[in-house]
Amino acid sequence: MKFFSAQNVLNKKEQAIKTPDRLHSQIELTETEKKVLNLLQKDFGFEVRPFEGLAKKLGLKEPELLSMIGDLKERGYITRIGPFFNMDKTSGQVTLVAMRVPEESFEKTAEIVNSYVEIAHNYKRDHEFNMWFVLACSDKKRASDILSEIEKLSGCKTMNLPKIREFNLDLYLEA
Amino acid sequence: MKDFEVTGLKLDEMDKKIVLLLQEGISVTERPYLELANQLGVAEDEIVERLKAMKSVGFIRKNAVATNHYKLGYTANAMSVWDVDPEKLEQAGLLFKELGFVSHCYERPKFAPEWDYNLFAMVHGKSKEEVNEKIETMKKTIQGLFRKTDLIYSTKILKKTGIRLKE
Repeated sequence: MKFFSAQNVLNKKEQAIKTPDRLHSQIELTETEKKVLNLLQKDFGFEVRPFEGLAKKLGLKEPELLSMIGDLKERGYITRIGPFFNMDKTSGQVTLVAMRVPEESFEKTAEIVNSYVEIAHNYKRDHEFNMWFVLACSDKKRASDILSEIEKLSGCKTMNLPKIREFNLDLYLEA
Repeated sequence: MKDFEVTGLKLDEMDKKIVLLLQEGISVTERPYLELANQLGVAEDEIVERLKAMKSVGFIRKNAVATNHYKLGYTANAMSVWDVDPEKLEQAGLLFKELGFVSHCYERPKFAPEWDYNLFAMVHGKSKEEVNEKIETMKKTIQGLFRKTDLIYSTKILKKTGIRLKE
């Protein structure tokens, strides 16, 4: 798939930065790759040929940038590239739900919760409320039906915390 | 999640097809919308124009890459929750936004009697120390506007598929 390895071509003199393995994370990125990740986390809008201008900004040729993005995807640094849809602007409901689940039935409850395609993500958290998930449905009725089902199947209550107001949503993680 | 309507924009069948086909993202090629255009039998320009219209009403936030927090070294991901007076919530939310490092900040309802927090702010760091420093900054920033706060770390990803529009 890769027709050449981007970092070898671009950064012969550039040393891959290795930071100490703190919490099982491993950062092995060249300075150019970091610049690519930082720039591309910001909106690049909609154009027929978006990577041409981005490459120019980075001082790269378009094919070099394309292969570098492909490589960063393959190595798992980029999980997705494309439009971020805002479900708050739809008739659907997206809500955060918390549960207090006893440790002995945690796994079973996670299985029940995760089985719904409407559950977008689910995290175990270090708190009395130890399970937190995001539920996205076409309408409120479906959301409350799913929560009732989960309560019935798991024997645990759900705490539904729909978003009232959004002050900020812009995840930018500097590489 | 299917059969959704978008506020402020009438999505037709073509728009919905574009949205569904772009759920997994765009292709990393010189012309990322070309294949999609061919598949749907329209011009690339039209795809781009439709996407711009969706962005103008806020249904699309941005066209960008999503990264893996952990791979970038952000291993400490915490949800900070705050008990703020309702009339001071907007001020507190905007002050958090101004800090620049709070990625998501929302007002959510309290849930009496067991849940007494109404402002949620996500903070990411390369270590717990870094997150704790950020939390200290946040406490100073909204000093006098909140009664109490708690910090809730995620310890395990149980599921992460993102919102599905199909099925």
